[in-house]
Amino acid sequence: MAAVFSAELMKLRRSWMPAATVLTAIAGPVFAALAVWAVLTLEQSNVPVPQIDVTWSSFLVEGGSFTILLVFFAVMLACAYVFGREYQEGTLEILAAAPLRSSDIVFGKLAALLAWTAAVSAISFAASIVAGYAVGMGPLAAGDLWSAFGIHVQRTLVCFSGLPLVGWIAMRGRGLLLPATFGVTTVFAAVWLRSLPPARYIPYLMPAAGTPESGVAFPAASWILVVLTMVAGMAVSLWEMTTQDAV
Amino acid sequence: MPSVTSTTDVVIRTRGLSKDYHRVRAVDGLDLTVQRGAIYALVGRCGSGKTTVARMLLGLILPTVGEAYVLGRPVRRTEVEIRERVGYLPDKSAFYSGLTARETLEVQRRLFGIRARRRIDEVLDVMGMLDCGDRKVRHLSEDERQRLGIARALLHEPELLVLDEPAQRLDAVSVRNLRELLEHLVFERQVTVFLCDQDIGFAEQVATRIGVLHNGRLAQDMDSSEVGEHRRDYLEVTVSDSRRAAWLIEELLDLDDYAVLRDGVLRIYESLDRSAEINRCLQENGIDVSRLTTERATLEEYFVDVTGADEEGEQ
Repeated sequence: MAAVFSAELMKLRRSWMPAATVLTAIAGPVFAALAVWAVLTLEQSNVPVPQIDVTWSSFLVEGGSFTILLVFFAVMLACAYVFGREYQEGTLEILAAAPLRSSDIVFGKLAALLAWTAAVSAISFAASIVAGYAVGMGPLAAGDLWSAFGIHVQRTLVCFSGLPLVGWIAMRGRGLLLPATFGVTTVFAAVWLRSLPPARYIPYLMPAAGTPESGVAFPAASWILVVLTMVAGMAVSLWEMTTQDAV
Repeated sequence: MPSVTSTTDVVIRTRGLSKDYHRVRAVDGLDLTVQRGAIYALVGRCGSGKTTVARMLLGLILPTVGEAYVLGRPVRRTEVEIRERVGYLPDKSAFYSGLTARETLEVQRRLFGIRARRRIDEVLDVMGMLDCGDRKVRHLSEDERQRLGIARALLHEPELLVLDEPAQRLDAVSVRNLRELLEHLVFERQVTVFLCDQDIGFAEQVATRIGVLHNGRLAQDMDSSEVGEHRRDYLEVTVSDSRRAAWLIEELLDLDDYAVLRDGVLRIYESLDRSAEINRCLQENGIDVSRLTTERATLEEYFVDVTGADEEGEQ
């Protein structure tokens, strides 16, 4: 598994994926900061604008729900790329001819995606803080920082839990198109349905729906569904890699 | 249970190996044995099932029926040890396009758990690619990409090389180098080579044993020493009227092992020592003979005979 993990990271680093994912991850904070800057500027100009409570907490947590959606989309794209390109470019034949078990291939790729997701998520969070300072939001209290960071980590874990199923879709679809379409659809669905109660129980919608009320973003049942989705995704990916022809 | 691979000299053995694709049988009951140190060439036309056989030997695709044993072990998807000892060049060698040639081999080094990084430069050197190691794969020529694919197959110093169309996309110099390399690997390092090729010329040059695959079945399986027997000598006669010439040699000279190739050209496969008599007979009966030579059929012609017979019959 370690061999696949290091090989995957090397392949990812040399692809267009770093630029695409980092740009997508930064885009969220930048747009959020632009919105805050516009509100603050209009308020200073005595132009009547809707009352928005612009605090670090709302910026990092409320704004963060959209930021994390872009992170989710970026890592779903990376996942589609990691699994789908092997079929699309015909490189799976080489990978499958290496002395690796199917589980090494699947879990090695997922481990690389976990590292990728963590890195992109960290960049996104850091970019949010930089963007907040850039628009003059004032000092960030340690309490706000840790609270927002905790929620960001929870949302990141939810994002990762959805990736094995995306990987399986890429393997079934033998390419990037199907999983990329799935990624776009779920992101739009998450934005559209975020205020509905079921959104808190569907892992692909949860990152946008998880607004904390009492320090806990999601109920326990949501986490059970998150774990089940991840395990089911891993199981079908492993089944696909083990039983289906590698070409 | 008696093992079909108990003989250590047998590197590949298949029994009734078959593969169906959507009710079409691509490989049909293949029984094949490849001895250690051999260069076995499986030749056949496009779609004859060669690539399917190569893929089944590595467990990349699963047979519908039958079994394959490679290096003494049954081929299964879960059988990792076989793949540690086999180098593979696919038909359409695919690469991660963002990587350089050296990085491509680095990925392979990691996947195979090879400790020595110097091995990358060694195989690049063997394939004459040291100077283009830092070029991206997408900027390499077809010939260079194919050589990189072969370098990748050699990286972990395999005991068995499975090469699918290795000479394809190579220029003449690279083909010669590949031939010398394979001979070196076989005779100096006891590597066994199993190659699939539709280029009968390359197979004829390097193989110690040749199998002809036709419509998924092994139509011929012969040692290189037997190959000569299939290269029949014949008289090729260029005449003014081939239909009348054919009638004459059949009726007057009592020869029936002949073929009219195209208008004006006959091939006579028997009584080659009667060339003067044939020439005289034709000329005395008003047939102009512009050319009469003794030729030897190439293996390619024999291959076309074996694999083209069905199609001609159908037409």
